[in-house]
Amino acid sequence: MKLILNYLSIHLKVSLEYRLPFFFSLVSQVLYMFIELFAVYALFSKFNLLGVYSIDEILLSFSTVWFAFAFSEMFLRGFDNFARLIVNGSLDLLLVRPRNIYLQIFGSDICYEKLSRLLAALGLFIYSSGKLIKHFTIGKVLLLGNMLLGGIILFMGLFIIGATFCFYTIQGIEVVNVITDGGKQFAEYPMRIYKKSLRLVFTFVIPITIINYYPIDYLMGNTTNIMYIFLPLLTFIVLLLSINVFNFGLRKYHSTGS
Amino acid sequence: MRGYLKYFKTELMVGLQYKAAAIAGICTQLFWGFLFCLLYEAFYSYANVDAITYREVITYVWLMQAFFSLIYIKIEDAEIIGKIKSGTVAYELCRPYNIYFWWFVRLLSRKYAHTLLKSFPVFVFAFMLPSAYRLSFPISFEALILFIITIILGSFIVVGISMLIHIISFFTLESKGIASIIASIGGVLSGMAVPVPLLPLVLINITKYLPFRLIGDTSFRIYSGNIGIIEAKQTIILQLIWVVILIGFGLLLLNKALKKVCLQGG
Amino acid sequence: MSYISVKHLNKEFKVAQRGSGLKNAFKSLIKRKYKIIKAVDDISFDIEKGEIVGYIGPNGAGKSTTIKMLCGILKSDSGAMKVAGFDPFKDRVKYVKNIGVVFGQKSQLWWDIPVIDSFELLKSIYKISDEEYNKTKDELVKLLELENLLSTPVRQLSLGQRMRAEIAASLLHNPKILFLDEPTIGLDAVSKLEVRRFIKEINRKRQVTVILTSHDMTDIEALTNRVIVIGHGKKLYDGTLTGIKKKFSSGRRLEIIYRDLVNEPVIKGTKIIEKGNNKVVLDVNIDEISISSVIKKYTDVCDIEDVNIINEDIDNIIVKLYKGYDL
Repeated sequence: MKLILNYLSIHLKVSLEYRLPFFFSLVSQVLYMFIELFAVYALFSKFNLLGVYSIDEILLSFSTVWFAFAFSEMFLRGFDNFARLIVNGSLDLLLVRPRNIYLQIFGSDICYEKLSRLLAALGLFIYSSGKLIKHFTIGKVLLLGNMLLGGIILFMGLFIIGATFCFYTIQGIEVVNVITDGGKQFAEYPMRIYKKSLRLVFTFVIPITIINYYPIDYLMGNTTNIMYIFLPLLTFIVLLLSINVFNFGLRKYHSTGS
Repeated sequence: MRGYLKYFKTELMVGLQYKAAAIAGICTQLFWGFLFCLLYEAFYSYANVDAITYREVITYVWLMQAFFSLIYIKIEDAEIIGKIKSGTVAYELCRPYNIYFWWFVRLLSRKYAHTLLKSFPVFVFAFMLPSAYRLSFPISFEALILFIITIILGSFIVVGISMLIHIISFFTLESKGIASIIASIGGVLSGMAVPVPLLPLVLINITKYLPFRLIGDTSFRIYSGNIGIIEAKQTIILQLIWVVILIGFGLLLLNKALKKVCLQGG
Repeated sequence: MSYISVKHLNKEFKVAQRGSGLKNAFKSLIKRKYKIIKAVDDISFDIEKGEIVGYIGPNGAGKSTTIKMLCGILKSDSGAMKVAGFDPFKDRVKYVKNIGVVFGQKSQLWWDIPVIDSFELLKSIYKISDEEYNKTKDELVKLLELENLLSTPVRQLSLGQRMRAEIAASLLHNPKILFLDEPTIGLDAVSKLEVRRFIKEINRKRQVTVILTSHDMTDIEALTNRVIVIGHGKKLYDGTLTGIKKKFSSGRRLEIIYRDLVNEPVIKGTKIIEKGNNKVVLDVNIDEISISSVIKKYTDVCDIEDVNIINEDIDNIIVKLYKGYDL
């Protein structure tokens, strides 16, 4: 725990070493998110769908995914840029230290520039859920918490799976971003707009529907099934799976060194 | 002129070396193209939009993926700005060519190298897809010719803007943040987020006074027939005007930047 | 049992082979050809506590593979390794508390922040107690002369200063073994001397066992007399540096300045390299004739004003050694 705080403070120090660029990055990061949001909104209004989908539903779908994504971008930067860690030999350095490797990869890079996105997404989430939910119940509040938590867990898993690819090939690793960025891109729209077959892919392959599509159903009162409240936590399966896959890759690294 | 052409060729050959990265790039582009197809399919299943048809949007999506490297605005050459800041740019000034155009050619050749590597496989793939997601052929031969002319002129505009970003970052002593702010806004106005005809009316009106939509958006729409031949020809004139403005402005700013370096003594 | 004991260590790598050209690039995506390379081939050695050992060999000889196995990063294919009572790979997490590693090319210090902040972070990574940390830190700061550098951001340090800070960082947790990979790469002459002096001091004062790789033979020569030479994954030599010199430097170079020489003596086992102006330079094959006999032959025929024995440059000897093993 002390080490985590230490990592957090050391990276903050690094960020504040260059104040002006850091400030511009904060602005540009959050600007980019709002531009995406704007594009989503633009499409819904062009297709006259704002009656079918309320602005709050759009906002809530969008902010859930972006919160989870920004969280992972900020704190899992080491996994996001894992190729660099391998190429420049940093991974070897981490492996000669007597600490958990996941903890050290987390500590290798923390991207405070994403903080603006994270907070803005959280703000949108709170605002839109407050407006979307007609009658608050404990279950719904609990579900909101689970959506945030589940989102973080899911994207953690996706980032770790992405990093695992780097054990096998370093070249052209941008393909990996397809999983994370692509998932985000799909799910920033309310997912009931998609065909059912596509939704199934995003339930059973990349289970992104369970962090916003199904929970929003519950929040809007379309269902009262209690199971929905805990659905987002199933993302744990993805995280467990990804850790196993990553450990497997790490073993390969231990035996081939590349 | 000959020197610039030679330089263009050399840089192009260098760029074509990075095949593995290109293969990965192609996969990425295909994935995103497919993703956007599914997204627009969803929207068009609810309603139609007068400004642009489903077929035209699908074509738009695939052309954008094929020419992504060409139309994407980003800082590509941090070396340039590093040279200006450190003062080593003085060496460049000794060479018998105009420094602005030399760098212009360099940025341009990189874009073409990436595009040449990626676009062909994307085309092949997109032409073979099931009809709902397939890239259509150009609406007419004339449209194809106009498409080629406008996409080339569009690449000049992108590089002109990139050059400006590079040069501005010299004055602000900061490059990443400002560049990505400009790139984000430019991206929306050039149809990277959603095709320009699908933007809100206010924004469409704004794009008319800016160069961004001339980068890819107009060309893609000429290809599919969303923009007619007459308007396409007018586009070319507009593009030429913007190329002159951007290059002129870039030259002016670069000279100012260089003077500042000289005064500081490098 | 020795402190570090390596027995019949083996490590093979599969290396993908690929022709050039776009066609081959696509081909290799589908089907790859592999070549097996023996990076480490039946290597054994023992190192005692407190020794400094130079581990040398040309690029690609298997040096860093061995070091990585000794650090527990890589798993060996076969063979046994015991370092300070641990199996480096199996007991990795426990074991690495006992080692310090400096990779010359890869910094463990944070580039943009003062040195002391990096130290503090390492303190919590290694869970060093406040008391122990302060003691070790003060000692190292004094030893490596870091007083004025602690609050400076790493990016503002010179290369030599940075290497000193690196070494201190790798010693904060009081390791018993220090691995140094190219510690003087890129340093100027003065900094090299300093770094060498510090390594020696640390070895002496803290009884740290040091294993270092370097391409700079003067480093090795200044620091240790024990070297292990490897090439193509095989151990070629293990012994003293003087031993190598004896074995591979076939001769000594002798410079004689004389007066009143009438006839140049012809001496078997020598070769004249340069002559003139009352001076002669010869290579002496010491297997055939001793240096003193050569000098004696000259004193017989002339007055000798001065004699210089020039030892062959250690770099040359190593080149010969590599050539001798066809590397």
